[in-house]
Amino acid sequence: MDDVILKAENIHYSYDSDKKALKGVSLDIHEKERLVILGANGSGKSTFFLNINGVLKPERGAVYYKDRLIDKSGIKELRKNVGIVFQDADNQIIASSVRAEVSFGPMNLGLSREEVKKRVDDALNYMNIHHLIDRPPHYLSGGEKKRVSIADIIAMDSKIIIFDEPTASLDPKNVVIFEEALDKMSGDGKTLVISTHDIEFAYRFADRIVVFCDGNIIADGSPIDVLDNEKVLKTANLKKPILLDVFETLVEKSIVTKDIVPPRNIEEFRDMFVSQAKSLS
Amino acid sequence: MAHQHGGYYSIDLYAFHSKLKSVNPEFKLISALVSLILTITLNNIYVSIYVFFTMLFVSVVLGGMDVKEYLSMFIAPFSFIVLACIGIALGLSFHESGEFSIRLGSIYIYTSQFQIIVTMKLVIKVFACVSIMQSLILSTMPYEIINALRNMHLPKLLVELMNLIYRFIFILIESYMNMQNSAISRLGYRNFKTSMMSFGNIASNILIVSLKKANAYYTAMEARCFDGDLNFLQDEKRLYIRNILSAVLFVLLMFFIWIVSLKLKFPFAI
Repeated sequence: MDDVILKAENIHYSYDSDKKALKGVSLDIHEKERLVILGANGSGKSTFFLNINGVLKPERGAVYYKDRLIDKSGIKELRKNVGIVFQDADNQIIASSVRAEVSFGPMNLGLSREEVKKRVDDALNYMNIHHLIDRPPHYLSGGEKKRVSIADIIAMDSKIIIFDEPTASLDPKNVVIFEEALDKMSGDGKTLVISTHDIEFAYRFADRIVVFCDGNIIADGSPIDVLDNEKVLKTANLKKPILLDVFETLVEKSIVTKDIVPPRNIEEFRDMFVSQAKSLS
Repeated sequence: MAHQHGGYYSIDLYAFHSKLKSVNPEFKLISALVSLILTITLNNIYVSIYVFFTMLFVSVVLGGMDVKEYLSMFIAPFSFIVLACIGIALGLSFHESGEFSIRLGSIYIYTSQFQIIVTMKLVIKVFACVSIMQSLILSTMPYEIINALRNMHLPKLLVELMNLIYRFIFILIESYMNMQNSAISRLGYRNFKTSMMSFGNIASNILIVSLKKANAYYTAMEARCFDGDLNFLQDEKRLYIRNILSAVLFVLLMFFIWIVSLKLKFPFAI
């Protein structure tokens, strides 16, 4: 848990000369953690992802994968181990059948045909979409496309999987399917980095939350520490999760005792509330 | 009716549902090309008629397609054929000529029996050729055809372009439909003038969208270790002896009909 798998050090990046997208971002990503990245549109999250995947080259700063500095020769290794699921699946799916699409990454890794075939089958089974294997992508629904784009990365067997606003265009049912897939990947020892605007999701899912604001990291810590910090919330234009808000109101009104750890999801809250109510009566 | 996909029709769904989908695509492509070349070179209406009906049999009975839908596929090429035939069958002259003619002012539009026969033979031949290509495209997914071309050592550049173009058609159509819908909802097609304006704006926007999308794609491809070669895994479909035998039989029958029609001096055979 404590091993740093990917280290970004003082990364600067700008798309044009007058506006800097990243102004010296340093971040350690630990193995097998569930890291959620919050921040407004244009705060530099996507740019940061492209920098740590090696698609964009930082103007200043360095990226280390497992203590190895990434230079020109290491970029392929970096891209292999850091997979990005892009926000818009339609901008990621390039092939004309699901089989060809999922095989694109493994084929680029130069694996044998049998190995590629096996990986494609495994990745599609992993996402429960093996029945779509012959389907052209333009006959898939939005949720199915998203799952195909995740299978793309699973087939590459990346150690770190980055999701760029994954739930932005999904309906509630597909969000549930997606969160189940995340839990499964997390259980299989993948390191997950997710950027989102869904603060409730961040609060219940993350091991650790990082907040981007205007090309800088302004907060980094456990969900409760970060989302309880009024200053951070105000600067980044974030809202406190409802559950945390309710909990704090209850503490304020002395309905629950102060020393309890705030609940992270609705089940925890229910248990806490019922036990507190019992002890009061 | 073809598959309606957010307002546009797509022919490749037929291939997706065809019963001949599982047949080896290289085989389908090669046999289609051979029959196409033979139909053109033999240049015989009996061969053409035979080819047309065999292709109808292939698509409808073997492929499991609706006859009406199959025949409706010919509407688009038919309009082109009609236009082309006018040029061949009719001639213009300042003097009265040909066997039949109509006078329009000082110009005569004329034709002759010979010209009409030539045109009819051509129409039948064109229909036969179109039906061969239809049968191919109605039973084979375009990406399989592209991959078959790759296996036949067509230059990689062309094959990769075909792959990306095919995928981009759908992406751009979708962008176009979205923009068009939003223009319609803002009364952008209220009258002729606004229609022209909206169409022009959408067309210029499509160019920008396509550039942006191409950029986004390239980023996504690079993120997955793309290094210049577009490689995909393709399903391998077995080639059965019975496939080859039926194709050989089909070609032999073409020759048989050709020889018989010449020997027995069928009308219009030459």
